[in-house]
Amino acid sequence: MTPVPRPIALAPGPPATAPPDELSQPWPMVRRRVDLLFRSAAEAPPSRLHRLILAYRMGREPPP
Amino acid sequence: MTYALTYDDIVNGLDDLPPLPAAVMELLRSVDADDIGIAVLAQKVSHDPALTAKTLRLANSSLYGLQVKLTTVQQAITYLGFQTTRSLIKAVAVTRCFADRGCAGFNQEAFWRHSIASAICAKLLARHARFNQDYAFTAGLLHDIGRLVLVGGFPRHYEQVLLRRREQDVVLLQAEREVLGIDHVEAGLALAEHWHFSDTMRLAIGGHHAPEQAGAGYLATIVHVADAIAHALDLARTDDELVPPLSEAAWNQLGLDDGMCHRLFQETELQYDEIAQVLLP
Repeated sequence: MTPVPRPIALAPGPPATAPPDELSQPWPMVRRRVDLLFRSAAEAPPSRLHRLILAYRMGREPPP
Repeated sequence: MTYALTYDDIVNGLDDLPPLPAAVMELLRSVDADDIGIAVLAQKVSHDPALTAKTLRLANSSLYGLQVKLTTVQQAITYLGFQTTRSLIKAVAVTRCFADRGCAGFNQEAFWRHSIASAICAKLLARHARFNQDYAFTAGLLHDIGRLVLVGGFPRHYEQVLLRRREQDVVLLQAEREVLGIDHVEAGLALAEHWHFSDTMRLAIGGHHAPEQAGAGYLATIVHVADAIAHALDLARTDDELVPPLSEAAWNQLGLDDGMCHRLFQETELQYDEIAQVLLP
């Protein structure tokens, strides 16, 4: 009888669906903090500065 | 509790400010002279031990990435350049003048952190706009100086402003107007008059919350946007940080695209870490 190698136990990996940046940073907290900073304009649609700061803090590169 | 402070009350309170040391006044006068040489400036700086230390520390900081240590003020000024040295001297002189006056709830260190961040951002915006970077740095540093005038001259009154801000979660400018009947913009203008700031600087201080008003000047536009970005980058590190309303006209006037903004945020944060270590009182 040919011995069958036992599968090696691996540490559980990240869920395949999660984007890599969400694994190392508490993004909901980052977003909450940025939204909090702009709370004086809460009723208006997010300003361009608000969106840019959010993208910057979330690590999204701007278009070239 | 509300008060009705007047411009004259503010002006009278300015007499209680400690005068700038004679050596600093002399430095401030001489750094604005276009024909001053590096050797003369180095000699004047070296008369002030704290300023000497800060000049060397800034030049040797990782911001400038030098391989060898600079050991003399003259080397440091040559390396930093006149504009940066002037900005440094002015910044050190002004931060020295305002000691903590014991106003409950007022975080003087956070105040300077925000001022330094605004100064750096204003300087970078000025570079983008091909405007005088030295003016922009100084105006950014001093744009809220009226707050220190109010805190220093009327600490108990200002405690009520801070209380109102916390209770109503409004921007400080609004809380000042509601509680004092006057705001830090007017107090800053009074100080600018008292210390004989240039017209350009006065317009920037006076217009930094209303850059679209007639005659505010381009520097007010730069400082207005730098102020908002500095708040948005959260560099003062206070729990109640709040980005003030941003003038769309001022924003559009600077013509920043998304990529430029991203680099501006990065560079402001990078320079902030270095410069704050040198400038924080």
